[in-house]
Amino acid sequence: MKWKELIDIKMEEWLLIISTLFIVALVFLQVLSRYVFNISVGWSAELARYLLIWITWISMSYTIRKNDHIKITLLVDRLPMNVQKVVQVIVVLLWSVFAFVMAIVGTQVVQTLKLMGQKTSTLGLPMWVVYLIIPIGGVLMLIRLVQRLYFIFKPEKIVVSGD
Amino acid sequence: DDNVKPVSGEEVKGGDATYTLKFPHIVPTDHPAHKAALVFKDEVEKNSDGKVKVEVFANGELYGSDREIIEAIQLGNADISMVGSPSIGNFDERFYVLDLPFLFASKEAPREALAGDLGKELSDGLGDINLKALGYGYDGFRHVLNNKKPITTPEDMKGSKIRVQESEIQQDIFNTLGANASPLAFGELYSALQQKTYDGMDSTLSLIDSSKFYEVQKYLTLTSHQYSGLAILFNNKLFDEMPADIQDIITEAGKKTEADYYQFVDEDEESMSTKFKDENLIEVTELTADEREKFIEAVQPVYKKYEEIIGKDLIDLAKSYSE
Amino acid sequence: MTMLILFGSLFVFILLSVPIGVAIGLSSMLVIFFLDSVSLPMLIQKLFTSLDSFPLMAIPFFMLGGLLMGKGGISERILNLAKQLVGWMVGGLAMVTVVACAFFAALSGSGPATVGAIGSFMIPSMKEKNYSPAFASAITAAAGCIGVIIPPSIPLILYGVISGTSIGELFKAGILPGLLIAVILMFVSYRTIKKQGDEIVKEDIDISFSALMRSIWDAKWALLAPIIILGGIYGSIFTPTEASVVAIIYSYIIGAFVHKELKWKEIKESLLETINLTGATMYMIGTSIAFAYLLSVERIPAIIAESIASFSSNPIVILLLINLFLLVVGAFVDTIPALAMLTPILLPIVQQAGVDPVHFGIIMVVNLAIGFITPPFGVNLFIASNVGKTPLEDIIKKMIPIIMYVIVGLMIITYFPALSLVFAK
Ligand code: NA
Ligand code: NA
Repeated sequence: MKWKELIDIKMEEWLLIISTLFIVALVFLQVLSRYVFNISVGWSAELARYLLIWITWISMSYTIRKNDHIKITLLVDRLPMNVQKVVQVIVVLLWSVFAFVMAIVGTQVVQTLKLMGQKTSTLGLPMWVVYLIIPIGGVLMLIRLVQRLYFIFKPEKIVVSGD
Repeated sequence: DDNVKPVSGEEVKGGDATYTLKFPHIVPTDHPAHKAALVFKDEVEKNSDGKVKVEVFANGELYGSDREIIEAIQLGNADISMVGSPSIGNFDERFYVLDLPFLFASKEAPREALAGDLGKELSDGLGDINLKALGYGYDGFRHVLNNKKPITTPEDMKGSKIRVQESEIQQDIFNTLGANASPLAFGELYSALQQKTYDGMDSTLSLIDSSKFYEVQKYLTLTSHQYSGLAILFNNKLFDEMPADIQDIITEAGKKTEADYYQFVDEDEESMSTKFKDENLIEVTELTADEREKFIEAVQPVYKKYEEIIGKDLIDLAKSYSE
Repeated sequence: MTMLILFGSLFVFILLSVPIGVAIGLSSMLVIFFLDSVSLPMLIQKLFTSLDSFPLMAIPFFMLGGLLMGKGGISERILNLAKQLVGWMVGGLAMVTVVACAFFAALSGSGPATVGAIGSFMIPSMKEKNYSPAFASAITAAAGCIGVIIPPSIPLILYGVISGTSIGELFKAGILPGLLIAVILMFVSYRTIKKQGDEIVKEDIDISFSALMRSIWDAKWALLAPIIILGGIYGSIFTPTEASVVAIIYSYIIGAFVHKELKWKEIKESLLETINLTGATMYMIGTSIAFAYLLSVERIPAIIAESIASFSSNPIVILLLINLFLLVVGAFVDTIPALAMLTPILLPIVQQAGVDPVHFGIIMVVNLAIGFITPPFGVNLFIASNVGKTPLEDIIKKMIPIIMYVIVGLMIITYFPALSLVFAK
């Protein structure tokens, strides 16, 4: 099932890898152009920063897929198996509240910013466009959380590795 | 807009609305802006018999940048602040007019302009983006600092690596003068100057003092190349909802804050320049009228570029106060 | 009441195994629900603006650089050399980690960036030599704290601006306290590994002059890495944040073209690990800054500071109480908001008690640096857990004794002002 893996994991991975490489190249060119060619562009730092924010929120939901979030399982590990499942469901639901707020309130904030006409300092991008990652991040998170809920009851047989 | 409900601490007690206003700003408590914020607080609390409370948060405790504060006012999580014109320009491009190089010939000119037609022109557009200017102010003029040599002509700037704020107009000013200007985060600035990643920067006198830039820069030239203007911004929607008597109290307090703020900055500037000279903290160079004229000539291309964005009428209006 | 909700719910969420960053966000949301003066868009704004910082980029980038050094053979050659130098010592590899962190601290102003850079190759190396993964991660996380004590330091700059003290003096004042913490951590490594005894693989290393020379020659390109990075920063070519990217490029060139050990597979693995770290840790900065905002709005720090000042006027007692208070704050709040919140409140109290403001800056930053390794919110812990592939609670168990030793260091720094002020004044 190649296409399934593509949609589930690969697409996100490639998007994130390419964006990360892009920022690395961007900041390196910034150093190179300032030092070697003695010219500077004002927008490279801004673009790099905003891209990193996008990468952060997309990776946040990607990390849900990888089950790599940092948590303390000291108490939960000592519970009987079936109770553990109940706790896991509660955690996913609580987490969904967080994601839901990001999606809904995030959309409201984006709408307000759109009305307010703010632009970024050097690129002149509309600020609401940059802020879009908050509601997008919320929605991506919700999708991953639904998937997580599914895996709680039907654990994956084969662990899909990153490569 | 009704997307975000305003939550500016309005509580209804026995039919009488009381307000708690959040006044965040980003400078330390010994800065004139903080003293001015306290003037606003005292005035409003005294004149409203405690019906309106003002909570001042200094040092960027609530929000780390002017941009973030303006956004917070629009979103209803801050009520009033003093913010610089380059940041307001992100929200309303006409404010970039205040950032144009060598725009005002004296320190009185901008004061008259902002109290008069220029101020009115600028304030009028703010209501649409949920802001209201209660008054204006400034942090002094910006001057050039350098580590290599005293700057007296535009040629001295050639090839010099200059740090600017994240502001396109500022970068344009220095690049037009032949420097190699690029923005750097304020938090990294001190180290970058110490390690000489940048040769120079520009700053107001009070910022040089509070951030100890004289420790890492050798020469200060009093170029006054840019006016460091700011506005006292209030949440417009909240203002409209307030009863008339409270509105008057806020407006009056805004005027008093503006007047006192100008005075605080003037005193501050006076004591700074004596301090820098007396304590020999940094070598201070003044420009002669001729030298200054050369700089003014050199930056004219910046005006060309921004005429379209800001509008020629507004620029001419601002200039007219220096004639 | 608000505080009860904030901390009570946080405790419950974390025990339920809600990811810590999400737990902090949920507690903040709950409090916002009860507070009239703050609304949810504040949280949304913080989720965005707290990450809108160029220096923050150094965290993932130094980690990526570290990973590429690991997979491209740079770290291995440095380690071989280190083994020649200190391999015969008990706990040598842990000590190498501490020294590497202290060294790296001199170029990075950030604690988490230090853990990312050094941890990404030292933790796997220690694990290979049978160090317990938890201890390997814990000692690296702890050594990462030195990053903000030894100059340059972003927190010290912020303290200087807020308090009006000289940043240059603060930088000088940080050197000896930073080295003291390094020495203490080396001592802890020695003690811990000595106790662990025979489990650590002892290697037959050929220790001779010729072997040492061979290691140095082998490591020539590797040794050039710190020289280029340090030289670039002090030679005025790039800023510390930009240096993180230069480290990536250099590691790539050496790994791919000189050592020829770095293929696309390794690069991709490193990128994915970096992305993983970004997704698991960086967003937390946003929720924790929203959390700190709520503390500020409720004026909690001011209330506590007042009660400290009214409790005693004896400088020894006041400093002790402030240390305790800062350690508790550091457990929950990130360094930057903590400094912005507390410096203006605490500085007048200690100045009245006759404490030098430069010395107090060091005390505050050391306390908050310890906050990097105290749960629930300790960024160094999270990064070490992510890099070392070790559960957080295991690291915390190993961390408790380490923290005890570091607190001894904190006491020395607090009660012997000369340690901070000898260079500064
Ligand atoms: Na450092
Ligand atoms: Na902590």
